[in-house]
Amino acid sequence: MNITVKMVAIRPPAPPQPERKMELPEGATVADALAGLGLAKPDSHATLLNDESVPAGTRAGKLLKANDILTVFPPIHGG
Amino acid sequence: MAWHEKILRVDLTKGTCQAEALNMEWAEQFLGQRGLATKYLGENMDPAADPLSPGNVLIFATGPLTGTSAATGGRYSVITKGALTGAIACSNSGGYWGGELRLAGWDMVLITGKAKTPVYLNIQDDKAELLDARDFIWGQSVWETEARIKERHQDGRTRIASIGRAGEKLARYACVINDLDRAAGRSGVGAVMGSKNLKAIAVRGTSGVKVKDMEAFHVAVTAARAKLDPSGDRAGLAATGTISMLDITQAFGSLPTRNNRDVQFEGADKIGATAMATPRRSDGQPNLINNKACFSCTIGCGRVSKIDPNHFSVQGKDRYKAASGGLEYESVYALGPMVGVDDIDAATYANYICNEEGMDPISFGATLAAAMELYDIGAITDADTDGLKLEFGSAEALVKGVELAGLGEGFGADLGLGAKLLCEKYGNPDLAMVVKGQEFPGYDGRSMQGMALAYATSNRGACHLKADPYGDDFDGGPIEGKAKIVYESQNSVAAVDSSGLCLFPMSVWDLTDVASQVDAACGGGWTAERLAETGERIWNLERQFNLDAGLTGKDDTLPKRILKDAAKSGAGKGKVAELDKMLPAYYEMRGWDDEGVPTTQTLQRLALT
Repeated sequence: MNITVKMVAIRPPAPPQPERKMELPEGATVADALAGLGLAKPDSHATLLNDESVPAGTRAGKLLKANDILTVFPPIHGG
Repeated sequence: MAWHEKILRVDLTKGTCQAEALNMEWAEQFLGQRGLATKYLGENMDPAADPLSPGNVLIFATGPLTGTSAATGGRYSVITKGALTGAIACSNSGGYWGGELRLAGWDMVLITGKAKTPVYLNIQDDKAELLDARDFIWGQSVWETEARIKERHQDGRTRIASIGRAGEKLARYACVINDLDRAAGRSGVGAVMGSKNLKAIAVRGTSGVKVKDMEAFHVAVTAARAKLDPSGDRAGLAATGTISMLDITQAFGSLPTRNNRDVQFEGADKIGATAMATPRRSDGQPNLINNKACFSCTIGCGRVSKIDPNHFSVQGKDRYKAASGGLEYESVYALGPMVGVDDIDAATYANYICNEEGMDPISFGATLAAAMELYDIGAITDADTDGLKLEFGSAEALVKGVELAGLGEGFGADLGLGAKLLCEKYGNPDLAMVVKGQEFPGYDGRSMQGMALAYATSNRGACHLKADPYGDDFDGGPIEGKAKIVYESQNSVAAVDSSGLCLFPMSVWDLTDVASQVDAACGGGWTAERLAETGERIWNLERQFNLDAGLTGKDDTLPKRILKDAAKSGAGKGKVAELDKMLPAYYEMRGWDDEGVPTTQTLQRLALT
């Protein structure tokens, strides 16, 4: 299946392509997708699946489906 | 000891400047800067005093690490009773002024009374004097004030903290600006300064700051820098500043838009970090010229910008075509989405005027947003605005509005009231997006529930810098965990705010890293645990000041819109701020009663009785 991944405000060294299509097998989870993005510390990032928060502790059990939009960003602090 | 153990007491009524010993017993209890100055404030004034009366006290305070080589060790705070809020104000600034005060040999400047005529304070190492500001800098902008003082005293390295015309006119959110574009921004500390007829504090120091154990201090600073300097967080702040937060709050749905009617802004991509760095079609130059750093800072999050010389806002105004302090996240939120404007040059111009005339861009933008909503519903009309069309999304209204507010002219006098008083004046108090009278920063509490609790309980009114709920909010953490996160981070932040350091390294450091530097500099056994306890003591001291000033637990609340109207989109879609679930747990954790009053046991535990 294909999903869309949007990477927002990723800190250096950031992977190329802030928005991309990602091919994943059926049964893949948010954790699987996150692990395949080439981020330095994937677990330290926040995730939204179709505008809903997916807390870090639940990603391994959160199944993806075709055409999902996964948004990934660092939990940076305000200023 | 990193403290000079010396404060400057200035009595404006008598026209005197006197050195006095720092109370080291208090320094052991409250560390410095925010904490120590709050102690001095409470001991030197009646908290019930009118903030714009001579009875208010104005304190410029450094921390023990200010002026040292500790990374980001250049901060100072302005502590007073806020003109905007009637609550404790603690506005923290960077730049070079705080470090210079320490190099001049002072820990703090404590100002009482009111000058008969406008003056400025000139500090040259251990000499301090009040000088006449009339026919010199009174009536001038911050930028002109800095230039004239440097010229008169023939020293380009003099550092100046001053108010602009907004402060002179007592705009409720007037701020103190140092180094042209660094601000002790919030709560109206500049209006307090204006009410005292004090235009500026110029300082030049040629000594240094001694630390308790130089070798241990060098080891601690080097170790802390070894964590901070190579980090992605530091590199990200240097590259894009804080403005990259806009992309996150837009994606998350926590970006206050059109006075919090919405939580995502359709024009976000025109004013964010990418837009700021992209060359314009008109002249091939980007808005962003460079980054810059404050005293002893290894991050460099500050922005330096240039407005498109063809933009309507700068036609016939050459001084705004030069490079100057650029937009940061809070300013771009308030001067962009909050007022519905997607014109980065108009927002940059408005930010310049806020710097030039000494206004908090957060409060100005949020007040203009409230005015736009009042205009939209017909509560404000063209007759009130002298024909200015206060429409959401109007860059022209933003540009004209900021000019009027900066000078306190025409409808600008109404804008200078702040959102709370403005909305009360025009019969719609619920439209003010404020807590304790202070306007919202750039986070909507319906998708960021921890931030909602942080806003509601902040001692100085709505604030994004007095707690650190960001990570858990963005991770979608449960409501049940919010009270603990806000409570603990409020304590940590209070300690860091009292040290002389900036908060930004705290995305990489923890209190252990702060403690090692403070202990090497000051001695006395500073640990992470002691810093956390000191932060809790400071938080409760501020709370006591507010209670004595007349605030109550009823002030720990949010606007009706955030509590009753569900967010329309984003991660918080369909949600309101669940303050009723979080606040009781927070009070219990703090050791406060049901009315939000610290119990006797809590005060005894913290040695506050």
